[in-house]
Amino acid sequence: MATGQLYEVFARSTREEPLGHIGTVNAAGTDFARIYARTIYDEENWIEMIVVERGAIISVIELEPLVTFEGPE
Amino acid sequence: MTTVANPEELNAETRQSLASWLTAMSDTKHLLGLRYAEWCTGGPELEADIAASAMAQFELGHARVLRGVLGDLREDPRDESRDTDRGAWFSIGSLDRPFADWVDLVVGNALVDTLLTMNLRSALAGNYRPLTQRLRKVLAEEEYHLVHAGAWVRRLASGPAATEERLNEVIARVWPQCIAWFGPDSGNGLDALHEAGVLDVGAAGLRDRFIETVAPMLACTAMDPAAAVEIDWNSWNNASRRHGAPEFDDVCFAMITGANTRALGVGV
Repeated sequence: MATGQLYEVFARSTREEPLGHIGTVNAAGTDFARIYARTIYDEENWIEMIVVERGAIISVIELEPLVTFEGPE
Repeated sequence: MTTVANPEELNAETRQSLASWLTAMSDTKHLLGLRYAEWCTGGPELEADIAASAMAQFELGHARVLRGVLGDLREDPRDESRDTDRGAWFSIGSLDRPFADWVDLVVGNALVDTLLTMNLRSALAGNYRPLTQRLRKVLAEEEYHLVHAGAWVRRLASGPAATEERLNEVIARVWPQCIAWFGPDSGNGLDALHEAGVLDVGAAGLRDRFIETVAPMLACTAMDPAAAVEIDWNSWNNASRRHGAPEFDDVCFAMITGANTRALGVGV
């Protein structure tokens, strides 16, 4: 069964700290992304966790690729 | 509502019903945990494996919590006979055998897991403190099991025709066992717990809540949750809440009774 999108996972364990990036999940939809984030990143008692579809992220400074490939046009 | 702080404040009949209910609940959670665990490396994607293993861990933990409450009752029915007699186990019939495929697991998650959660929510709203003080965390952990079930039922129902057909076939097999779990109109064991305040509703109310909860999830399947289910109550056991004795295979029975590890001499 094909899987879907990459989702970035953010969480925090206290009100004082900001949400921090803790990882990614590959999921077929938002419900799956929520479930998978919750079960994979359960090492701490998070008080908040969110997932963001990677495609929804707006890039401000693009990461330059380490290597460029030249192929036939 | 008067809170009941210890089992001796309940009459003998209620304690008997409570002991049977806790055994059925904890045995079903134990078997559900085992069945989830058997699929920890067999899911359609790695993330699904991790979710199955997390759910297994929670179900086993919840069985342990409920058995702790059960152990305080004089009427606790668990004795040495459970090592050799499958009939002394009160788990729901659909868990007698391993999940044959991922569809089986999803239906177990959607129906059996939800049935147990409906019962625990009712007990949290009840008056028996040994339960209410433990169930808040248990139910918080159950929260995403329902989301998991709903997401997978929809995904399978929108899959190829053969997958959809298999989904409907498994639901049709498990559904009557879930409805039977709540028992007949009288002598069901749950009404006695409601009258004592341990559960906030009786058998019919619990069954209706279960149907209302799973109905949106089943809307994409061929199952009509409102349709009447014909059940032979003559052979239904109000202690084990099922028909007949479990048909665990030998490997499973040795696993759940600890027979495989007893020879090590380090068990309890």
